[in-house]
Amino acid sequence: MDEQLISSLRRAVATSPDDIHLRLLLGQLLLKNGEATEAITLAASILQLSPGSLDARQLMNDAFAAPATVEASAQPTGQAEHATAEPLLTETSEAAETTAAAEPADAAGGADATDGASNSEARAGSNAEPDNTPNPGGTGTGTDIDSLTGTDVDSAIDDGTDEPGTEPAFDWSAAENDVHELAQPMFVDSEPSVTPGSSFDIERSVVTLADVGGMKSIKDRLNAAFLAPLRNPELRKLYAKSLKGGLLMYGPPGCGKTFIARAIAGELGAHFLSVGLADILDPMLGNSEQNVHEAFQLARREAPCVIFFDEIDALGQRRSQTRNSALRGTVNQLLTELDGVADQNEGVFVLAATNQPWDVDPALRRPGRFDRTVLVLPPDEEARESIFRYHLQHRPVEGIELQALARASGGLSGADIAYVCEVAAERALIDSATTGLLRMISMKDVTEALAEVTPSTSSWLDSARNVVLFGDDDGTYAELKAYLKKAKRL
Amino acid sequence: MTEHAAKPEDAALTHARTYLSLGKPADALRALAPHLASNPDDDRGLCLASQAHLVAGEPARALDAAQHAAALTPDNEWAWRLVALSYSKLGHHPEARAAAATAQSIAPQLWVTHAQVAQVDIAAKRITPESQNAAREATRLAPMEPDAHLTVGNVALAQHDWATAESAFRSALRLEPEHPAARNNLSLVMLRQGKAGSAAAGFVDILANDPDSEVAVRNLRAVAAVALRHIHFILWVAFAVVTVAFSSASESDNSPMYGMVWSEFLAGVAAVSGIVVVVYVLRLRRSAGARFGQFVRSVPRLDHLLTAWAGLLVADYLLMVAACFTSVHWAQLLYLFAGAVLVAGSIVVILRRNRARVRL
Repeated sequence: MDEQLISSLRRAVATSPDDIHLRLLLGQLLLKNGEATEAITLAASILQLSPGSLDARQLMNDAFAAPATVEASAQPTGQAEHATAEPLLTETSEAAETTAAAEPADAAGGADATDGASNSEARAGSNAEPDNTPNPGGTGTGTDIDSLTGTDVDSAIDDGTDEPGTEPAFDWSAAENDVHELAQPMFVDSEPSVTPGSSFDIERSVVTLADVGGMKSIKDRLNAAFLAPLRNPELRKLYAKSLKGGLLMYGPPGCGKTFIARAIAGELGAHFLSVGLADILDPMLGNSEQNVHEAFQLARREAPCVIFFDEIDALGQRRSQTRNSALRGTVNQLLTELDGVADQNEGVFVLAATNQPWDVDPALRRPGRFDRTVLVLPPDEEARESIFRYHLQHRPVEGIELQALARASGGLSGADIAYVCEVAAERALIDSATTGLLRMISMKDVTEALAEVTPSTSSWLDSARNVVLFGDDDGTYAELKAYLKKAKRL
Repeated sequence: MTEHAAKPEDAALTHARTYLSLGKPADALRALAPHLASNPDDDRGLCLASQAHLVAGEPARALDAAQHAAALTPDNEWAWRLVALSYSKLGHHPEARAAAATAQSIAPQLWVTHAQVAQVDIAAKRITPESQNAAREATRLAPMEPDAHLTVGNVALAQHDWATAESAFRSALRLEPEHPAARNNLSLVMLRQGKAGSAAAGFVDILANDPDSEVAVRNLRAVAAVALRHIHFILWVAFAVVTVAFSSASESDNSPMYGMVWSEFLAGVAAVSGIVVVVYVLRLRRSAGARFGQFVRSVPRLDHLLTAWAGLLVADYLLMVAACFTSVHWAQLLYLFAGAVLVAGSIVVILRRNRARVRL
């Protein structure tokens, strides 16, 4: 009976995901039915929707008590703590498992999940390692079976489909499965089957600059340098302003360059095509260049489109610095595509981001290419407040003073702030798991986490200082120089 | 079409090599991981992994991978060189030397094996005739390879043979003008030869091209320290002369020195020491060329202790000048202060040295 009820409630929750009472009821039933883990997940989801819900806290505590009492008796303390800590992580751990299951090859190779491989890198990985194992249903295997059995394939299939009452037809699929390891395919590809450039994902960006918290000076600069001419075709014509050329964003890592690129695409109502080093690099001779070409072709087909080159310093490294001829060719191809012919790049907006603009080939920064630069600095106070809000809003929090956190987190990047929130959540989680009593993430958790985290931008700012001191003869980094002076780093 | 094709395993290795050439060891290791999972005994993959670990600053892991590769293919000189390099980074110099010698015996026709022997000896700070011969053999086998000349230069540098070192580094730079190690080491030779200005210009050039170069920043600080030490020495001499000459004087005309009066003598010493300092700075400026301004402006930003030291030296000189215009009593007092300031400067030098040791 309970099973049927639970099943009905599950459907109801799926239909009305915001109905807290329904979720609560389902959670209670699940707990009663011995499914404590799922009950905890539900309680956590209720707390995300309504952090103050006492019923949800009670459900969480009850659910905690259920498995802990069972396992604590059988396991040493540490293991029991682990067992109790696990359910709170359900969302994250499920996501991790799904990823691992989807990419067994990478996981088997120990593909450094801790390094946080990006999706694009994962895609490139799958490109580099095409599945060349024989396909049981493939042409080669089928032909072999035919020759082995000496029967007429067509007639056998006809027998099986047209006359259901007769003897069951020979099961060709089963036979293929039986022998596919013995019979090798007749023809195999010596090259990976993935064609160059086929791994690019194009998307429609839904974020705009309004979604970027604070950072007013950057938005103003983007408007002046890039967006205003695009939005005002009449004025553009009046002043004979060319649309040629791209925008290079530079700054310390983790400060939102990629997010801003998406926001620009959103502002322009354009498609967004993100291109990383791993999407381009290909060991086959000429394929890297072909990938660059394909990326531009795709952007041209999908115009209006923002094509965004992440880590352009790697892709467009100074040719004098690299002995790698493949990379030299890639830079040349990139230059060719940027220059385009006639109005080939009409509607294609080229953006790039780098942490090290000083390593970018100077040819890429000439007029008509990445001739406009925007320095994306660590977030200002307003932006930090937004970032804290974003990372805490879906967590069970209480008494968080966002303004105080924003004031206390000067110099941190967006990624640093995300990490602070992670650490704070971890503290509350471990505490809840240890005591068995659910508690919210408090201001104290966040401030203590804040004290633990040092700005990851420091080393970048040291390098930037050297650039300003020794490598800025032409005033390219005037904006950076002004910032460093203001930050008393110069 | 097929001649350009590569097997998937080769593709992984090529990817790893490309990432290594971009200075991205983590990406190289990520590219290698699936390959090594399916081919755990591929010595080329293991060697690349070892190389990536070395670039990532993980010599222990590099050693594991290289030893595995060497065990699988004992005649693979690359694996032995990596073993040598890993041991060398770990400070196990005898083992490093033995591995380098193995590589050398496996492939005596390859210049890199000879260069490796010399490099291991340089790291061990134990230059022998064998090291010199190995470096020379490397350049004989590969006269157009800048790294071979760099090795000769490094051996000479370790032996304080400045002329040979300079010539070797210049040869490397003729072959590859942007070679960062050759440029750095040439500037170091200049510094050791007392050409602080040229050295400063060299390090500033390196930093202009590679702002991440920690070595160049350290060396630039060293140049500034050398310059300040010169000035400090000049001021110590001036202070000592005045102290010895007038330690017992009590009147302004009570001078044991060629009948000169206090103030005239003090003014003379201040002027002479000032001129010597100015001449030294002008020489620095001339040899540093256009980079001098950047060098001087950079010092306060690179090292606060250096700034404090320079400030103390300026204060000391001002005290010495002020002493020329006061009574004997005040002049003696000001010189006492000047002496204290010079001692404080020496304390700053000691603090800097200790800080450098702690960093190492």
